[in-house]
Amino acid sequence: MKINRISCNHFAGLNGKKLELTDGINVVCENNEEGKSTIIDLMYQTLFQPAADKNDKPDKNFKARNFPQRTDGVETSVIDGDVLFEKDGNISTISKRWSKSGTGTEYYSDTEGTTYDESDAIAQKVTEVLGGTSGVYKEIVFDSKRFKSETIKNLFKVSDKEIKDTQKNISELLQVTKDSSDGVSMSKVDSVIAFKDKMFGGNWDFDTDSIVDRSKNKKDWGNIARLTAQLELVEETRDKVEHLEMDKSRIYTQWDEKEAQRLEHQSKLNKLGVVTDAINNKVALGKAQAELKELNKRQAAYDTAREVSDKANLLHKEYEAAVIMEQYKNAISLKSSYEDKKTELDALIPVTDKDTKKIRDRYDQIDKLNNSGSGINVTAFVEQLGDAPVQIKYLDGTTALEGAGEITIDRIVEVSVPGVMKLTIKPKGFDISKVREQIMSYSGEVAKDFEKFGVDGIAELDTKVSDYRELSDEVRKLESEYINYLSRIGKTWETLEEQYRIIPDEFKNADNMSVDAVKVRIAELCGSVDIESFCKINEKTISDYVNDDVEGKIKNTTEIVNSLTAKVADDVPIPKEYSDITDSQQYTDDKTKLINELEDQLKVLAFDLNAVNDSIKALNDGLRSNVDYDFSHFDNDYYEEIKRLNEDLEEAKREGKIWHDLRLIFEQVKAARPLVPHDGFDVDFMKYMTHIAGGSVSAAAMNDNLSVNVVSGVNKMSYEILSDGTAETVALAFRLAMLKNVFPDGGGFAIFDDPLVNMDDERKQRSIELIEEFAKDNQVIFVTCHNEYVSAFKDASVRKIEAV
Amino acid sequence: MIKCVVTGDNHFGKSYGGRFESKKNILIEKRFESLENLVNKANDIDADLFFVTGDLFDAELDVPRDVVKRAVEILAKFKKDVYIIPGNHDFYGEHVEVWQYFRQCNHFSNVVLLSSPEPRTLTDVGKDKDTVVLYPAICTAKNSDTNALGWIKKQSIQKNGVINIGLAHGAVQGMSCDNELRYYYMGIEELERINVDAWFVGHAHVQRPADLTENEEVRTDKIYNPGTHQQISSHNDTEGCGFIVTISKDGSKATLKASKYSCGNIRYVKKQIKIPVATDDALRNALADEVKDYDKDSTILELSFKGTVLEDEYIERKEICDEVLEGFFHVDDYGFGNLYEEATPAKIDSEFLTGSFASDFLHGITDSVARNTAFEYLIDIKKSRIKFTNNDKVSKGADGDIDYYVYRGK
Repeated sequence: MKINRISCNHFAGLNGKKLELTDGINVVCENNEEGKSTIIDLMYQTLFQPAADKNDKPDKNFKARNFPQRTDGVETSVIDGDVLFEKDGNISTISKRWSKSGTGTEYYSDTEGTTYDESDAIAQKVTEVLGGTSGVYKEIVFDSKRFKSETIKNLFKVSDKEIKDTQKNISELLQVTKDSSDGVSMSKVDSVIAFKDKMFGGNWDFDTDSIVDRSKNKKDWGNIARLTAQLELVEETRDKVEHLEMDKSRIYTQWDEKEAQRLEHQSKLNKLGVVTDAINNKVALGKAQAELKELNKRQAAYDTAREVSDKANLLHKEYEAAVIMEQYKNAISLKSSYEDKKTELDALIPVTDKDTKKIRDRYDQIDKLNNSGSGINVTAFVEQLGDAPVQIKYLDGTTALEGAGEITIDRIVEVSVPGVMKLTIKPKGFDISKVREQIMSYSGEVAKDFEKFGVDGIAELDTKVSDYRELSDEVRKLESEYINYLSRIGKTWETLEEQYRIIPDEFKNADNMSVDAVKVRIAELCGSVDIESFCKINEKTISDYVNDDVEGKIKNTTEIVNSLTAKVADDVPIPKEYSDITDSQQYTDDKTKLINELEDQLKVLAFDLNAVNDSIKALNDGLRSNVDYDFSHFDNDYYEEIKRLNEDLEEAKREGKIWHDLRLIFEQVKAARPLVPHDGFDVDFMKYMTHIAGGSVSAAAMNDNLSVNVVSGVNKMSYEILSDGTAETVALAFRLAMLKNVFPDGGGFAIFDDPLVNMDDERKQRSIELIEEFAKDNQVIFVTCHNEYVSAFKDASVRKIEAV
Repeated sequence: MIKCVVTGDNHFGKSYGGRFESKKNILIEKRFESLENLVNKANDIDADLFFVTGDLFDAELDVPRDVVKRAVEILAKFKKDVYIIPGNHDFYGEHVEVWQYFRQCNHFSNVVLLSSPEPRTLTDVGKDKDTVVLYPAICTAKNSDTNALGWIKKQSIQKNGVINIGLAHGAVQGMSCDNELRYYYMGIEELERINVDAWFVGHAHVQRPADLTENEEVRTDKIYNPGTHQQISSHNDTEGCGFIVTISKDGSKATLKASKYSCGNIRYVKKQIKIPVATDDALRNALADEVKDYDKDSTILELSFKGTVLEDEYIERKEICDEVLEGFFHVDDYGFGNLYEEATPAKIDSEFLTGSFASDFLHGITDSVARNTAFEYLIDIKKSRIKFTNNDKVSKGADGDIDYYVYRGK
C-alpha cells in the first residue's frame, strides 16, 4: 500500500497545495514553515478524521488547529483534504470537507468501482485497506512525538501512572499491531463473546439450567432466561384461561338448565289459559262436594244427638242424684262419729297438764320451804332410852328418823318424844311457824285440787290428764274429717241435706244407684266422654243444626254440586300436570314469580359470561401487548405458542451453550498468551539498537512488560542521564521494530519526521541504512529541513510541496 | 355396507392473525375450498354418511355468522346426511353463540348436530339398508379432565347386524401433547373396550392411522382420526385430508376398509435442510432439491439449515434462500442457527496468521459447531462486518444493533 498524493484547497496554513509521492523513499525537504508537518497531518486527518461531528460533539482541538486564523479578516468556513492511495493495483481516493458548523462531507471511491459517502463505511474501508486502526497509524506509522517520548520513558522503567498507562497502551498497540493483519484483536473477540454470551445466557445459570435472579432488570436478561420466563408466563396464562373456560362451561350449563326451566314454566303458564275454566269448575265442584259432605256429617250428628238426648239427660240426673246420695251417706257417717265422741268428751272434767303443773309447783314450793333453814351440819346419835319413841321430823311433817339411830341433820328438824319432849333444831333467828303456815296453805291447795278432779294423788291426776287429751284429739280429728269432706264436695251440711232431701224417692229406693253403677251405664252410652259434656255436645249439635239451617244448606249445596257436576262433565279434559291445581290464579302468580326469578338469574349468568369472556380476552390481549417479550406469533392458541417457545428455547439454549463454552475457551486462550505475543520483537529492537549505536550502547533482556536494560559499555543507563542522541537512537530502534511487526510482509508506509537531528553522523548513517532496509518493502516519507538527507538516501525521490 | 367420509378439526372462524395477518383472507377462503373438495369427493364416491368429529368451528364465541353459514352450506351440499359433534373448541351449550348461529343458519334437513349424549339410530343406510347406531361423546367445555365416553360405556350395544359407530372428540392416547390430561383424554384400550365397530375421533391434527393411502385397503384399526382437513400450523406438517371408511357387517363381525383423501390446499412445511458437503452452491442446491416438489402457491415454509457452506454462500445465504424460494405462498424467517461457514484447520490458517490470537483461539476449540460459530464471528470482525462502538456494545448487520429478541438473527 502506498500514498500517491495528498492535496488540499484550504487546510490549516496550506492553500491549494499538493504533495505527490512514489514507491520507496520519499524525501520531503522544505524549509521551515513551508507546511511539511501540516501536509503530513492533512494526510492523517483525511484518512481518519470524520468530516462531520460525531453525535453533534465537535472536535474542538481539530478545528482550533486546522481552521486558518487569518489576519485579513477573511474567515474560512470549510477546510478540505484529498488523499490518493494505492493497494494491489486498486487506486482509492478519499475526499473530506470539514465545515466549522460540523456538517462536513466525505467521499470514497476506488478504481474497482466501490464508492461510499457515509462516514462509518469509509472508516471501515480505510481500516480494511490500511490493515490497522487509526491508533496504530497515529502512534507508529505517523511518527508520534508523544509516543516516542513515552516509549522511551517506559523502556527505562520511569514509574508513574501516566507511564504505566503508556506501557499498557504500547502492549495493546503491539497486540493490535500484530493482530491487525488479521483484523481481529483479543478485545474485539472479547466484546463479541461477551455480547453473545449475555445475549443468550444473560441472567441464566447453565449449571442449574435456571434463571439466576428474577428481580434483575430485564435488559440484562438473555434470550434463554427471557424465553424461559416467557414460556412460564404463557403456561401460567394458559392455566388461567383454561380455568376461565371451565367457568364458562359451567355458566353455559347453568344457563341451559335455567332457560329450560323458564321455558317449561312459561309453557305451562301459556297452556293454563285454555283450561282455566275447567280447572275452576273442577275446583269449585270439589269445594261444594266437600262442603256437602260436611253438612251431611252434621245431619248425621244431629240425628244421633236427637236419638240419645233423653236417655242421656236421665242418666245425667241419675248421676247427679247418685253423687249426692253418696256424698250424703259419707257426710252423715262422719258427722255421727264426730258427734258421739264429742258427747263423750263433754262428759269429762276438763283437766290438762296445766293443772298437774300447778300441783307440782306447789309441791316444789313446799319442798323448798321444808328445806329452808338448811346449813346445819351435825350428826345426831339417837338412842331411845324408854318406851317412848323418839321421832325426828322435818318442817313439812315428814319423818327424818324414828327410833334410835344416827342421822345427819342438815336442816330444821323437830325432835319429839311423845309425852316427853319436843326439840326443834333450827338456825338461829329462823321463824318456823311462818314457814309451817305457808306449807300448810300450799298443802291445802293441793288437797282441794285433788278433790276437784276426784283423784287421790298426782299420779292418778296424770292418768286423767292423759285420757282427756286423747279423747280431745280424737274429737278434733273426727270433726276435721267431717268438715274437710264437706269442703271437698263444696257443700255445707245444710245444702247437702237439702239436696238429698229433694232427691226423688224412686232414686233413693232404686237399686243400682251407686255412682259406679251409674257410671257404667254412662260409659255404655257416652264412651269416654263424661255425661255432662255429652249432654252439652248433644245440645249444641242440635242447636247449631237448627241455628245454621243445616237442612236448608244441604238442599242448596246439593243443587250446586249437581250443577257443577254437569259443567265439569262438559268441560275440556284437564291435563294431568294441572290436576293438582287448586287455585289457578295462585298458580299463575307462582309461575310468574318463578319465571321472573329465572330471568333475573339468566341476566346474572349473561353478565358472568361476558365477564369471563372479557377476562379471557384480557389475558390474550395482555400477552399480545406484553412489552417484555415477543408475542408476534401468538394467535390465542396457547399450545401452538408453547410449542413454538419450547423450540425457540431449545435453539437458544443450544446456541447459548456454544457461546458460554466459547467464553471459557476464550479465557483459557487469553490466559495462556504472553502479554507481548510477538516473537522476535525484542530481538529486532535490540538488533536495531546495537546497529545504530555501533556497539557503544546496547539493549538487553526485554521482558514481557517491555522493560529493557540499556547499557553503555558495562554501565547501565538510566532515563535521567540519557543523551538526546541516545534517546533518538532508542526511539528509532523501537519504532522500526514495531513497524516491522505492523507490516511483517511489507506493503505499508511510515512517516519519519526529522528523526536523526540529535545523532552523530555515524549513527545518522546507520539509521539511514535501517530506514532504507525498511523502504525495500514499504513506502517511506522522510520529512526534513536538512538538505543533507537528499543525498544521504540512495535512490530517494525528492518531493516538494507544490501548488495544486 | 356403508361408506363414511370423516373429517374434523376444521376450525372455521380461525382468524389467522400474527405472522399471517396480510394473507389471512386467502387462508380463510382456502379452508372453505378445502372442505368443499372433501364434500365433492364424498358425493363423487357416493358416500352414505359424512361425519364431522368436532371443532368444526374454531371457537364457541366470536365466529362470524357468515362463516358459520358458509360452513353449513358447504356441508349441506353432501347428498346424504351429515352428522356433526361439537368439539372442545366449539363445545356445546344450548346457548353457546356459535351453535345458536348454526341453528339459525342450518335450513338443511341433512345437516344434523348431535348435541345429546344418547344413541342415534339410522335405518336403511346405504345400498344394504343397514341399521347404524351413532354414539356421540359430546364436549361441553373447552377443557375437561374427564372424557365424554361415560354414558356410552353404560350402553348395551347390540353387536349383531347393526353397525355401531362411536363419535368422539379429545386427546387420544399417544396422539397429542395433552400430558396433563386436560382435553377429554381417551385411552386406546378404553376406546377399544367399547363395543362399537369404529371410532371416528377428532382433536389431534394428525392422522391415525398414519399410514392410510389414497387406495382403499382392509384395516384392523378401530380408531380413525383424520386430522384437520387443512393444516393450521407447521407443528403438524402433514397434508390436510379426510378419511373414507367403509364398514360392512356380517352378523357380529365388522370389516373395515379405509383410505384417505387429500383435500387440503395449504401445506405447512417445517424442515431442516441439511447441507452434506460444503461445495460451491451447496446451500442453493440442497434447498432447491428439498422444496422442488412443493406447490409454491399453497406452501407455507418454515425452514432451518444445518451444515457448513463456503464463504461466498454463507455471506449470501439469505439472498440465496430468498431467490430459491421466491414465489412461495409464505416463507418464515430462516433458521440459520445451525448453518456455518466451514472452519477447517486449513481454512483457519488461510484466514488468520499462525500465532495470532484469532488463530490460537479457533484452534483451541475442539467442538466443530462451536468452532464454526466462532469462525463466523471472527471473519465478521476481520471483514469489519461487526461494528464496535465506544460503549463496548457490538452491533452487526445492515440495521445496526443486534436485537436481543432476534435470537436467530445470524
